[in-house]
Amino acid sequence: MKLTRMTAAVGAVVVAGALLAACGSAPATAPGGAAPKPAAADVAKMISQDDAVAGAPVGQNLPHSPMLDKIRQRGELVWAGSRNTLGFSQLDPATGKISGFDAGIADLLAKYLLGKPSAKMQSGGSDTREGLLGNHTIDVAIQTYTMTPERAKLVNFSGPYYMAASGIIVKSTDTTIKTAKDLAGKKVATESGAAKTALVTEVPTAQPVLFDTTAQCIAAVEQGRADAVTLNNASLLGAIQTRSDVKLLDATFGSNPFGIGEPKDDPVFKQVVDEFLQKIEADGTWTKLWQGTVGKLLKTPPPTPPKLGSVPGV
Amino acid sequence: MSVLFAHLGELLTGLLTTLELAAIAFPLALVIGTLLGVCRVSPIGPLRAAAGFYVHCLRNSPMLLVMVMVVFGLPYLGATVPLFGSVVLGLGLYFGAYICETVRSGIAGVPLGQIEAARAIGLTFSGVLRQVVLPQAFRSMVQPLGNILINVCLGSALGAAVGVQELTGSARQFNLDFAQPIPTFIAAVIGYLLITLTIGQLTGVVERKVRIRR
Repeated sequence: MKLTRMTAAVGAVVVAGALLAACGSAPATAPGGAAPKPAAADVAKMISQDDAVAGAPVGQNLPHSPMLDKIRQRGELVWAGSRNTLGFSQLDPATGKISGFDAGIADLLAKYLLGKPSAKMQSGGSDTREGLLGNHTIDVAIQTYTMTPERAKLVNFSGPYYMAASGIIVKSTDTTIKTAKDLAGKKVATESGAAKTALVTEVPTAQPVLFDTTAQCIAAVEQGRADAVTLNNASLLGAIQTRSDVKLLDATFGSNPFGIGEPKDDPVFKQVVDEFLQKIEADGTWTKLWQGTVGKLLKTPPPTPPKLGSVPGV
Repeated sequence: MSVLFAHLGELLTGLLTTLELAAIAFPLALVIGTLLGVCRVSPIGPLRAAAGFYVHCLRNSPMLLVMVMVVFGLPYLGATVPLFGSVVLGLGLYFGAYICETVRSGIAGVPLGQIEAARAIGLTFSGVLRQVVLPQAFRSMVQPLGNILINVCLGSALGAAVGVQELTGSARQFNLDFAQPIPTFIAAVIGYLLITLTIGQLTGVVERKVRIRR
């Protein structure tokens, strides 16, 4: 009996290892024998905010407020972010470094407030941001955080600092879906929150199927559980780099304004963050950050930074 | 708060989905677990080892992993189960392993003398199981099975991660739409409490009814 139990345990470990190996070696080549796509890790290596942060401004003669004093005392900025949004906020488990546009904004803000880019990421879901800001567990939320009037009742927003459009991914062989209109009545994999809202606003008859990560959404299309994926197109661009059995359509729809969320109870702090955004947009730091992160995926000329306060929910 | 009451229907739909998931997954887990439990006490060595191997694999994995394996792993083997079915299957496979161990301990609680007596009057292995051992084993398993049913209800929350909008999923969605984290999640907790307290009460009633007085 002892022997069988031992064998079973060892066997379980072996099988688990085999499964892991099988997952890790998903074929990267297209069915037609096209050139292999780069691994996600290689794409992630191209993305870095360091250049932008190096030349970024430091705030002069900043005022005092409860939040600002707390951040100064702590010596670092605590921000809510994501670990797995390629292009915006992606954690490299080997180095512990987080790179992307959102991570860059966090570093820049920390440098602006403290003189050095020491920002600590707290990874929560998108469910908890208002709660965490409300009880001061975090200083700011920089997490592809779409500004809405409902959320603005609970938190302050500085921004928008980025305008995201929703992109559409379909199977490479699909010829029926060309624009958002064609999603009517179709099963569409997406994530809850801004992406889903954008979808049902644009195509009320689409049937959203909600998953937790971009990778799961795309797997759902690859395996025929859904006809298309829609998420903000920069995250989709990151994902598409490494796959050849799905394609990203040129058509985009909707527009999600991303803002920096702050606690409601410190108006001075919001003002300082507003000034910070104006400063980096004016002096070219914003554009440099875009080029080092999202621009590496989009491969288009950098856009004009969005005008502060140009959307509802500020 | 008022917006929550206005949209209570969405949360109730989620609650209903949670109940549906549990109502289908628990019997499935019961069947899987009983079969495994019988395998683990059977006189056939390979069967014992195979069932033991399964239980070790499942009980030592996080449930989310099992869920993701069923939803995203099975299609690679050519079996794409619809999402709702996948969540039911994941719950059934996972909690089947726990029920197997419960069944085993239930069987162990049946006095050896009874099994010897049953063999002595000429019952076969399956006769001993079906007519003497399992009926008594199940009567002593009511409380642990009730606990597992509670865990199935709570475990179904992982459906939210793989595209099944149950109570947790609808609460999350509502919160993202209306940014009311605290009231929303309190409402969801109340929903789960209603389910689990009811199961706890029912378990007590059934347990007192079928208890074996030795």
